[in-house]
Amino acid sequence: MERIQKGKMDRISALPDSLIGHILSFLPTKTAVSTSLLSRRWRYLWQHLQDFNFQLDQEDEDEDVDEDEDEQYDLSFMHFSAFVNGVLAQRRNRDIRKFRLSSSYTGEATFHERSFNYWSLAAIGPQLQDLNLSLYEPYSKDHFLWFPSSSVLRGIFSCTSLISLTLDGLICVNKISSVHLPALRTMRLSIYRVVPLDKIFSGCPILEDLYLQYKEINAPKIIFPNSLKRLEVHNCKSSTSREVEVEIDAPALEYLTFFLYIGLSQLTVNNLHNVKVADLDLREDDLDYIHMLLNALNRIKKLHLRSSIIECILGAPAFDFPEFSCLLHLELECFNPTLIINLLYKCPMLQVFKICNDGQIWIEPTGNSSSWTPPTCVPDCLASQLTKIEFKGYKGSKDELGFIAYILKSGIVLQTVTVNLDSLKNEKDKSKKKYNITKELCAIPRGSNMCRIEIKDSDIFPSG
Amino acid sequence: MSGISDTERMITLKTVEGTLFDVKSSIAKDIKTVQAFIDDSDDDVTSPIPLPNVFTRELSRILDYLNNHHRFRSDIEKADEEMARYDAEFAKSMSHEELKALILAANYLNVKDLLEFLNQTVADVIQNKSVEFVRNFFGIENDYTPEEEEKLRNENEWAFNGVEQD
Repeated sequence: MERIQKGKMDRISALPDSLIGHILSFLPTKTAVSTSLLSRRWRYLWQHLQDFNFQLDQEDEDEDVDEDEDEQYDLSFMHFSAFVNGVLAQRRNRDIRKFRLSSSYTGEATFHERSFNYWSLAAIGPQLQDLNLSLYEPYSKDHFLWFPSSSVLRGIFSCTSLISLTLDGLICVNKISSVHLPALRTMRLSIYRVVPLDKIFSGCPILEDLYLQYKEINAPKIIFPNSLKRLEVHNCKSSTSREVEVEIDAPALEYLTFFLYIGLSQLTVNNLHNVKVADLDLREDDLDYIHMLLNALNRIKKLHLRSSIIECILGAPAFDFPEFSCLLHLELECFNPTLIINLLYKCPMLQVFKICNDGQIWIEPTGNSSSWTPPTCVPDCLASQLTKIEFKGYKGSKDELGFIAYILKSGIVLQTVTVNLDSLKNEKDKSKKKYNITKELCAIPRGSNMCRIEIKDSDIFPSG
Repeated sequence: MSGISDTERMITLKTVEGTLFDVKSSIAKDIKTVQAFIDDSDDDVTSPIPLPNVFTRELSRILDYLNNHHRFRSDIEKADEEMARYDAEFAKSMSHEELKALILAANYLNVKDLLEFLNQTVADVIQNKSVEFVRNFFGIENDYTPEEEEKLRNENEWAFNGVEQD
């Protein structure tokens, strides 16, 4: 009776179910399940999903919290948990391929722990390729940490089909009996504590992409896998005062982000000649290691040096940079004209140079007289390669002006020099200051007739 | 279509309308249906390969996508950034109808990465939209009676909690 309109089949409904299933797999599971309301044909399609994406939606709970909202929040976790359990019970395809679950902790430790263990076990299976568990604490009241049960850990770390693993948030991995992840290419551990790092790495023979961030490090020695192509280490703090030995030997490594603020008893770097992009920061007392690391990266194309590393180098006047013969793009988190010129001498091919002077590094005030004298010998890159310079955090000091004047005069192939005045935002008379700075900058003679000066100022062009 | 100076072997593809496209064999590798045809002919392809289910507009879009992605991949430094920008433009440039037609073509030609990307794009479009919007997007006739829909919602309250009523 209702089938009169049968001929009016739409184009996409004519697609095979597998293709619709593919589209559903990209949706949050909540949305995928709700497509059963679309029409009879769609009613059971979601049940064949092999990719799940559960998110406890926090949008409404972001605001400040009082008792009522807290309760409301508990309730939303109850709904969430009922939803996840309902989906897991009603799915028809037993083998999960992708399982992403993002939730937050709200004060029911045992219930949370049991739910996460149960859900993880449901996900682990012979077809699981992508596992992503994220657990956050929205209002840090209690100190809940999820210690996955031993069967969960065993399941995860011996899942031979797993290609990508993410553990994020309030998770502790304490003890693993053995690790066997022969297919794992991507691992993201952004968790509270991992103890057996060496054991994990030794069980991942083809790991290419590693992201590591955790609050406590408790291993005496970290040897990064030598299959890596991309390595990111963030903000590791040592839980003890004990120093850590770190070893990187990765001939295939192309991207390196290394923010390591722990005491190093030893740093060994080998075979980093393929690294093309690096972003570095180390604790300020590791001068020898910084020197060694920069030397190992001498084939690099894009380099970003952060404030602690620069502070450390500034404290060592005799520091000798290696020659970066392939470097095209350099970013420094400080302004120190002497250091900059010394570095530019070592970067003959440099095309883009960015300075970000956010004032974190305290440089001895030089009074009214400029202490910096421009060098007589112009760095090669300024004479032939450098086309773009950006200066963030310009405040108009004599050294800064002198430096810009020198660059503009010597940079004979320059195309744009961008000066960002946002650091003057909170100063008195800022409009007058900015006006004067702009006038000064524009009056400087330029060595390149193609060179434009751009003044960036979010007071005038917000968010531009 | 011409003007390619290197000596790489070219494959010719023919759409429903009869338009011919010359494609580098390295690009053809990403089009699994075409590659299967080449493999079956023992690499001895001299005449244009007919694609009876693919229209000119879709094929030219697909080749544009593949050519650009090949170009990005050769430049490691900017690859990710530029590819993301290109992909966003590519997704934005299509109407919903064009998007659906392209999915059918990419599915027939078996271009895996593009199909992933297009299906992800559809998912992004319909996410957080009302049931009615999604029906319109896909052109679905609602064949539930109001009573049936009511019953479905009630029986599966756990699933539709927070899913708005039409």
